[in-house]
Amino acid sequence: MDRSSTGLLVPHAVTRRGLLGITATFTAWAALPRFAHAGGRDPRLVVLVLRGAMDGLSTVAPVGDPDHERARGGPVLGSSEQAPGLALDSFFAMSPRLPALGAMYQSGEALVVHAVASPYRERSHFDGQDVLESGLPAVGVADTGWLGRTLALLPEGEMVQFTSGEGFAAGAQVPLIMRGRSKVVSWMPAGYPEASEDTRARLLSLYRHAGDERLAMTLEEGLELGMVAGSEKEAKRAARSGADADVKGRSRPAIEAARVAGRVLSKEDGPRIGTLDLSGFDNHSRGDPVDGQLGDSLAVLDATLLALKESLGPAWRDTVVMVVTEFGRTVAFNGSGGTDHGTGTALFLLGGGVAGGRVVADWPGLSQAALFEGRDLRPTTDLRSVAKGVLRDHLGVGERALAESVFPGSADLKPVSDLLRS
Amino acid sequence: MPSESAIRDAHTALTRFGLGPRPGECAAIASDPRGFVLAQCGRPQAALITAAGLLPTPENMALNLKDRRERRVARKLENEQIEAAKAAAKASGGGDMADPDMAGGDMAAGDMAGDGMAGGDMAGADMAGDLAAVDDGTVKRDGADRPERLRQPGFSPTTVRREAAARFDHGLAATDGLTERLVLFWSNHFAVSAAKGGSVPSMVGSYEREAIRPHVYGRFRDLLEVTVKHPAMLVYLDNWKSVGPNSRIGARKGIGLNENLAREVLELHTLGVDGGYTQADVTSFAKVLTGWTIDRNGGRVEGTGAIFLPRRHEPGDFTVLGKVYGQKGPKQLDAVLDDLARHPATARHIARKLTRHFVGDGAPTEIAEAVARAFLDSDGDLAATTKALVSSDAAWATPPAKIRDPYLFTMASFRVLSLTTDAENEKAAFNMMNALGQKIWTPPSPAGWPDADDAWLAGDALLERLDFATVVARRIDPELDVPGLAADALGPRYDQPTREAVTRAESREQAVSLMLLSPGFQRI
Repeated sequence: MDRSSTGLLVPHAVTRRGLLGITATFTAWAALPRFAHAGGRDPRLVVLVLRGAMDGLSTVAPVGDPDHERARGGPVLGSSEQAPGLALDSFFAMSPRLPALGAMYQSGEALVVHAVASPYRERSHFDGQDVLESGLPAVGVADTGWLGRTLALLPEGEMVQFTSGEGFAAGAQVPLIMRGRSKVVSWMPAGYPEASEDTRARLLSLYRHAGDERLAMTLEEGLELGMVAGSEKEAKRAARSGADADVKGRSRPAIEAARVAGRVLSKEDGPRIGTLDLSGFDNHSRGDPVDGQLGDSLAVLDATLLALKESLGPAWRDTVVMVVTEFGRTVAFNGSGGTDHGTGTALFLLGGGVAGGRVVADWPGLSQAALFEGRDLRPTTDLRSVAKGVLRDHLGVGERALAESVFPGSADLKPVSDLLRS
Repeated sequence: MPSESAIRDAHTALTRFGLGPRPGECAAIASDPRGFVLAQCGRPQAALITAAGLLPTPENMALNLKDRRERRVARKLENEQIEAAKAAAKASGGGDMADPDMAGGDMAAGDMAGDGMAGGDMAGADMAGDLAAVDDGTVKRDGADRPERLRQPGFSPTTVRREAAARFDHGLAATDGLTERLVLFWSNHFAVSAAKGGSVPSMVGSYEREAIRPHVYGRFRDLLEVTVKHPAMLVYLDNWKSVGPNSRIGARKGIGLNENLAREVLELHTLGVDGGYTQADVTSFAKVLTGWTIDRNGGRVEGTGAIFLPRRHEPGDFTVLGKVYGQKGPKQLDAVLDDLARHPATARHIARKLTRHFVGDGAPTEIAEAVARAFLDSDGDLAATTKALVSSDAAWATPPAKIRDPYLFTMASFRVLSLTTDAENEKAAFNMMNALGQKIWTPPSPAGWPDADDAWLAGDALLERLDFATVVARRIDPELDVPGLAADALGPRYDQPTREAVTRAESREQAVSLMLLSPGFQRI
């Protein structure tokens, strides 16, 4: 997984894996797509990456599967000593730690795709996240991501306007999924008092004269977008101290990032496409979806999604949020009440534009014979098909471009239709 | 006057193979820079920290446990008071006294080693650890807590700070910079992270002192064993709760394996992800590892506090990488570690990582090949392995490309400016690392911090560094001859553009900032 072991070079490793433990960065395309002003629809897209491999089977449990309780052998929803969870239909139930998401599901604004996976079939987090974000069919050298390449296909309009108070900084920690040719900005928690404009300008001049192109370019990016964003430190501080003072504890960074995301995405001249990052799903122990660490992480996810919806306001109507993770976890619980790295898992689509209230799954079953390599939920839907359906029907990306540049080598994978309201 | 090439080598010795020069140090070693680096391989004791007030792991664990218990009691009390106040306000008796925070998390501490599965370890509950608390100044040097800290579970608030300060001070004072760099490298290779929460933050510092520092010039096999069996690793990668399904405990309680540690030892610590192992190897190795857990009974603990409990160990012979291990009890793990440490894939993996860490992504492949050969030929003697690296002409000749990570940048800045770690400076240092996302001992995953040349290069990260430089530049001696210092410290990298920037700066502080951010200081 560490690329040093294969001799390959991955320059973005820092950003992808999340820097602050519980990460909560929001990254957005700095340009306004021209269709935003075309009248009528003004679509927004947010991809939320859950790092650590979420246990899809505990999050959305197939309580109607006759093998469920036996195969898992752990604290599962619907078992005799566990809460029943939120019934999604006669077959699936959702963790009660996701009440906001459950309510969105009930009102037809959220759907679940189950038994889903990226094309990656090994069990390393880091390779798995690379494949999930790069959109490539296998582990390989990737310096762009599928959302980043999608941006390049959209008609680029004006640069997004930022005002002080939004806390955006430039060219900072860009996750692989958003990397591409287009400019992006990101929001992170605050740091330090600033160096003067004069010192910054002198440093840039030093880099240019010293002929260190890489340093010069990087600093230039920082300065340029920093100017657009206003004084980023001040802005970050403002974002922290202001309306978000009520948010406490573990979910605070995530909720703050979601609010910032919702606030700017909802603005007329704000960005339209972004990603959010949330870590904390690698539950090798305490994988109980109600009281365990998994349950706690799901509660953070739920609060994040709710904050996003609320801060989007009326723009929620035009928004699709796609919640994905690198792979699933073992069907059977391990010896510590948790689960180890697996394969198939669940993903969520939510937003006013989603044709929700249902679980989309070609259910493979949990009998021993049905499992992938005898231990994991067998994936029956390719995550890229779902993403292709969203990109085609929500952003109008053509199928050929999807098959060739967004998800190279995926011509055989048809986009999933009818995920969104027409 | 030393020759130009001697000055260049002296600079390389102190940057690529060191923590950055202190004033005058380049000149002091210029008579034999390569000898200066090589000689460090024969002084393993320089890696050891003997600062006062640092505790061994079992004591840190015990304090952490006590601390968590007290917090829990305080929280419960607080909740009861709130409930009581609510009840009084409603003027309707019989309020619900159930404490939601206690659900499932209450730990029958002390008995954990008895039957192994007593409660959760509260892992991951709190990321806002001791170092983060520096941000808003809630942690005082004497460890006095504000009441709100009581609500955050799982942290003994002074342990990590004290350990981090001792580590940083040790680096500031170090003459054997290569040795300290090796500590950082191996600590990152066998990474544990305070981000796990629970008892891990209390152990990350003592883990490095006990498991890493004594072995950087020892045998890889020993380093592997002490890290795998250290309580910090056993808890961080969950092995302390892994139980053989057919062991006495497993059979009685119906509990079983956790393969986290097994996978990461193969993927990260030894063979590498392409090292040729399968899922079946991971599972078998996880069975071999069962039984290794932590002893929190205290008092009678010797060593690090790790313990092998036969009643948790999966009985039987297991096949790892095609070889059957029929040993009984703890000897089985030792036998597997013997072979993993000797495996050619391990040698390749280690050699590539070491070479990339010190020479950069563009290091000629001959260096890693020589290092791997030395590793195999010496049966994993890390002094011999390190010597192969630092004796390679190519390792000295490859142009500097690697951006110093936030820790090394901070360290090098402090050393060149002769700053000491008073409270203000220390706060600036730790804040910088936090702001740039490299909080000490808190890497984002078992893979540790990333190590590519430009891994830490980003627009706003450079601005953060500049802001940090501006802060520390205000704290220098006002008489400091900055151009003189820059010429001394940057050596051959004090080129015309840098000289112009430094000499034409509008203030001494600005000159310092530009020196610290110059390409010659950023890239090693």
